[in-house]
Amino acid sequence: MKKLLSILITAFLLTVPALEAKIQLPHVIASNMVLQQQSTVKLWGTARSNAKVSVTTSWNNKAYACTSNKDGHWIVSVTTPKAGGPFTVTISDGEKLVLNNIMSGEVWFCSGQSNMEMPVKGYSTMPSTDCNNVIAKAKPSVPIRMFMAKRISSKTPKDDIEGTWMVNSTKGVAECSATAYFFARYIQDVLEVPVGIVVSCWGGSSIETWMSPEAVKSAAPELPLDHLTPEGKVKVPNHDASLLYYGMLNPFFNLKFRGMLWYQGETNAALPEQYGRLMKGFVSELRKEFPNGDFPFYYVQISPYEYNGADKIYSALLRETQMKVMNEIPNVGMACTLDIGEKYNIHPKAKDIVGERLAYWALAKTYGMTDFSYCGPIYKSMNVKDGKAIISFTYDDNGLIPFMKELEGFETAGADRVFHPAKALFHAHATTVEVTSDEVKEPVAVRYCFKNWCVGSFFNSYGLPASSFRTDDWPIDK
Amino acid sequence: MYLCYLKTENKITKINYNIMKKILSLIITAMLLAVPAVEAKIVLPHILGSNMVLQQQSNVKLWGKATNNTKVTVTTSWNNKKYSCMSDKSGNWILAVETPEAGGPFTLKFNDGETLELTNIMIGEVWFCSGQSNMEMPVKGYGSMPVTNNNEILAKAKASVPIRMFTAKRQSVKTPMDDDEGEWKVNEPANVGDCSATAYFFARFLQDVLEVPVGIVVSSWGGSAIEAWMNPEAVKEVAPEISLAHLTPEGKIKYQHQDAALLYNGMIHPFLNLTFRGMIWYQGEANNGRPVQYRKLMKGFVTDLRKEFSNGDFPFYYVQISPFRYGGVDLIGSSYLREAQMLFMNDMPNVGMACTMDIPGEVYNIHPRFKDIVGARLAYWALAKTYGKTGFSYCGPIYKSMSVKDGKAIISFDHADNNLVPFSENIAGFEIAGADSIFHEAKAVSHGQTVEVSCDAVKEPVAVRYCFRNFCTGTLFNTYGLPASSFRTDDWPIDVKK
Repeated sequence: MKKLLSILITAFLLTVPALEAKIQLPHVIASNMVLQQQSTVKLWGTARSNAKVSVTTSWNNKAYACTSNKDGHWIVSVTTPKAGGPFTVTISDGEKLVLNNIMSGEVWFCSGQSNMEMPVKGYSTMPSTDCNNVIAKAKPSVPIRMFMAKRISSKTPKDDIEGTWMVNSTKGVAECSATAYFFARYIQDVLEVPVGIVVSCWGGSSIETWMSPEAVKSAAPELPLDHLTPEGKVKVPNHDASLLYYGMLNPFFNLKFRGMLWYQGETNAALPEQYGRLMKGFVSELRKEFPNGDFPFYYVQISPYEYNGADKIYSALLRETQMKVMNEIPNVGMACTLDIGEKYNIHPKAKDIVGERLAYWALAKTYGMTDFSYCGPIYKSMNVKDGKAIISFTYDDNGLIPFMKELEGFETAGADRVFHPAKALFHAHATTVEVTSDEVKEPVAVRYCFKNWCVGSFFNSYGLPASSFRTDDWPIDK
Repeated sequence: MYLCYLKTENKITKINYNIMKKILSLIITAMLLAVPAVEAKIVLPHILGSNMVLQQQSNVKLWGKATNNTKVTVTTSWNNKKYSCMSDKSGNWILAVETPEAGGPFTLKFNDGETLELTNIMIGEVWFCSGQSNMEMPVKGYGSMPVTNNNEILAKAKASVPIRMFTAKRQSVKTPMDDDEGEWKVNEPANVGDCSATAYFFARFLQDVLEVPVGIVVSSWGGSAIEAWMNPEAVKEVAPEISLAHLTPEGKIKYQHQDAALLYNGMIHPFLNLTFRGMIWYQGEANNGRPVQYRKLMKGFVTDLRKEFSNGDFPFYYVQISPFRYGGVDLIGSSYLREAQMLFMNDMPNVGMACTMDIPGEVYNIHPRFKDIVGARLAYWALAKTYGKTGFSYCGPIYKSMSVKDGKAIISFDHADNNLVPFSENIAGFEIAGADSIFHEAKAVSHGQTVEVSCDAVKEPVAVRYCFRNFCTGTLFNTYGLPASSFRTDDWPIDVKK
């Protein structure tokens, strides 16, 4: 009798169109994912309309129930345990869907343009440091999981985006964002918990394309939005305002994560002042849209590169904007890359160093570790004495290096605002740099590495480089 | 029925007994509280504390103070064995306990009526580390003088890695001390940041290879002279010209870290009961200018330590001082000190020298940042000669002999393991002189185990020198990447001011 009944039911179910009967999940909720530990995380998807959906989490055997709305959408919140796994999540609307190999750990959301997108295996002819070794040694037993979102540009908000949670296999690592991966690897090594990275980025993208039309309008009203109307013409799918916000951020707005990494700015290099306004608008909007409040936002300062002229200075102005944003938004931090740029390659290979420097910020400011440095020297003030300009810094942790060696990249100008190459030197245990030039008797301004292309020449004693800077605020002809 | 009654009675008795026990314990407690706490308590020297590492598979001494003429019992958790002894009339006591194979964490309980417990104790390899600023320099670096890769090492330091470190407080005194302040620390960022970089990298290398807990006891003082670390008797014996007058009560001290015996009293004597595997030493800069005396002092120093410490002819591995400008880049004075250090390898058994000739030069910085390399090179010595590992090199090429053939000087080496590098290119830093004792820059090419040195201006070579300058960067290695020490083939009179 029972058997017969079950055959009948199965037959009945098979006749119902699969789409209606089945629970559908967004791609980011899947086997192999990492859920943010010790928090309340949302799980969501679609089912038949007005159906009862139950979600059971294996770490506590708890069942959570909700009902889908008339469009079939449902969402539940579940509590996650201390870092660990693997676990399962079983979702049922009568039919069971089991997600396997789920870890509880630290989740970071990662976005930006090509330097974030660049995979561990490198772009063709543009490798990332030590990539072959890193890929060959990748083991799934190391609990790093990565989700690379597929590129999509959209005029209207999307609820889902394609992508697959990958384990730490050679294939998974090779294709994963190198910046995000090296960050994840570093914090996994130190914290000894599973780490998940969700990477949503697009090479060459502008910042405004990652922002909502409202946020763009309020931060930079000069930017056009008319391409968003149904008949509006999109010029560049990864550049025009809001297109990636709709396509590549909106699908994640229910995602719970610890913090965000951002490596972008090259595309906006020509408009540094506007970039500052956009960045502030961008971060404050995300902190409203995502469910985790004032989450930490750690970003990478763009690297020196020749752009369309090694001695031009406009990208130095963008670096300046990025540096100044550190003081304008709470809970943000900047990883400086002034020492690892490549003159003819906008995609520096040293992504391991970039990941490491982002990790220092996270370990120090998000995970509360101490006794190492997380930020290189940042210009603080200048005073002039006996024809010498004396420059002070914050983050001069344990003194500046190298001492007794002429530093490259310094210039100084007098009242005539003409800059001359300068001598710059500091002594042992120094926290200030002394800048002089025979051409400039009365220094009024000093600049350091204030060109498109340059190589950072000084550091704090923990090896973190100083950001380029200028002491003046003179108008600049880019 | 009868059984039931018995049971009940039993219960009552038990209760009475329990109450009795409680009352008794209250009385005992009250009695104990009445005794002055200071007298009753066991006091240990700082070097014996929680988190320490004890030398494995040996008899290690434990010592301290207690009430005089009291029985002191020590219980070791690894074998639950009890050891006891009596404190003497001054309250001093000492006993020896057996340690097992590497492992932990364990506890030690000391009892003289009251119990004192040390926790998180590891059994492993213990090394004593001393010297001047290049030994003292912490992993976090001196201000503006970093240590290679320090930030990553600090950020990734985890207490689960069984490296423990004890840094002794600076203590300069005229009479021998029994204790020196310090605290055993676990492998966490702040502790690693403050630990001697040379010692730490050495410990890390050993820990990684041997997979046992490693403890380092660091007793060092920047700018200190070797005679400051020596027993006055030993100084008198090998260098009677060095004054000891400051040690008398009214004697005047000029330099608390350089005058003879002051650091021996303050920073060596407190550790003489310590059992360790071996010692590492990074010192010499402060004795620059006195190379002949230094070699004698070194011999006196090591001979004395091997008598005073309880571990016999323990291995003593030291670092040759690095190239630095001192009074001038091209002067040669400090080359004689490096020579003295190199020659000392033949003066005593069971010593070894880590050479730093090649460490990318820091002409204005006497504290080279590459302490990871220094630690590794000391570890090669320990692994090869103390732990019996083979299949790698532990010492760079050391000058052995010179012969002259067809106007060319042929130099032979010990430790030219798997031949010399680089081959087929000129090796910088060689000079050659004829009978006139005037040195000329020379051509030098390696052939397997030898280097051929020549110069058009010197038809009949009499002497060859290599990197025999205050500042120079070593270019000659064996095939395992260990650098050759600077050397000279002559023994012409030394003028350290040149």
